[in-house]
Amino acid sequence: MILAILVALVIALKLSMNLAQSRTLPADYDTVDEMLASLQTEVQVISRLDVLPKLEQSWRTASSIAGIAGVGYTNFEAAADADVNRRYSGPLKHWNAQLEGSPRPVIAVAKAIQARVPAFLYDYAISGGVMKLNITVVGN
Amino acid sequence: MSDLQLGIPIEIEGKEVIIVRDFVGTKAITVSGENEVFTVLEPRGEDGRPPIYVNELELEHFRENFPGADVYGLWQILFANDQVPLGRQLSVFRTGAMTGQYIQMEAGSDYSNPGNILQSSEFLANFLTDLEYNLDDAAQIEVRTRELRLPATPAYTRAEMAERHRHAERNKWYVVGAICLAIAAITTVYNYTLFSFYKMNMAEYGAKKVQVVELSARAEALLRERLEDIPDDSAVLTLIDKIAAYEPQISTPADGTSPNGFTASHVFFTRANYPLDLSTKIQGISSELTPSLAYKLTLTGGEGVTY
Repeated sequence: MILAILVALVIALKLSMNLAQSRTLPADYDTVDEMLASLQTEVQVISRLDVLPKLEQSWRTASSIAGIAGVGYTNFEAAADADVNRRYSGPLKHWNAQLEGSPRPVIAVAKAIQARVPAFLYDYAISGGVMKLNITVVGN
Repeated sequence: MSDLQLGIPIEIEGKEVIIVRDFVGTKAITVSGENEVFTVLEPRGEDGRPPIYVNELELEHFRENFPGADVYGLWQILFANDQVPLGRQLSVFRTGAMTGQYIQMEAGSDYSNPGNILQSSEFLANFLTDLEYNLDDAAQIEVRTRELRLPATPAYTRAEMAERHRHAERNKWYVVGAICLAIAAITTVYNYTLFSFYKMNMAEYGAKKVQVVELSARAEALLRERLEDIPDDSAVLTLIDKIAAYEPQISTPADGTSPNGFTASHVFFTRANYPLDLSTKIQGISSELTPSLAYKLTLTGGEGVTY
């Protein structure tokens, strides 16, 4: 009789343990609130940002700045297999250009472009008094 | 003389019972006839008193004649009520002027110790068959039925005992079944409650997860038209410009292993035999003289940033 009760107890315990396992909450259960709050803050912050100017407009501006300074401004497509850190891989609409000219004018033009339109600077090389700089103009 | 009569219904504690002859000690039953069957009425007492037996044929006889009346043994009820004085070799309960029952102690033993009871027996015509003893010297037992209490259990025949045993077993199994059912019920309630909480938590979690996905998608959509930080590399550009101002023939490493870039590093070489260590002129760069006597300049503050 004691055995029967013990067996019932063991079955009950085993069953409860098995069921408890199936009731395990997901690993990120405790952090989902935090995640949600930080995402909400992020969305609020982002939504307060201004929408970027049109890409075409920015591209024209950048091209003009380079043209006035006599710096070469040519469309330049980075190789598709290039290191993702060496080219733009974000979600924005973007066009790539290469600035070419004497180092100091190229640097001045890069500064001026960044001051006027959203543009990312990437690799560059200076050789024989000529500097080549890859930039990416972004917009929407 | 006592008013306790054997073999007829009498009232004790308001209950109609029958007191029958019983036998103390195994010696008492070994001298009986062959067809006699004895049933234990009381097991050996804690004080050492031998077991008490009852003749089952007699018991059945009373069952037939007085159905429903509980039957108790004489010595059983006397011992239960502490009415057996002992202290002498014989303790006598008289059932008539010349007849009675007695308890005989082991001759020469401690007559007060119930463990020394030899047997119970009866006498007729004030004559003891197997002992020479003056009955007047015996301890006399006198009881009043209204002062008596009933022992815990009456006499049962073996069949009745078997039935009672079966009944008790069955009851025990009922209890075991009830306990098992209780365990099952508790387990069910416990698990159901926890499951309900789990379901509630999971529903809440699921809803939050959906919100997370929606917000992520929203953030992503917003970032397709917005930029959190407008890129500004003017500090680094100024540094490079300063270097270029001091050394217009500056070049970048030509081997291609470490291309210069705003997401990588900024390394330059001056022309060979360049006379000036530019790190003394421009803050934020470090210099190193190479075997070709050109300086290798590295921007220390403008390490690559990943966009």
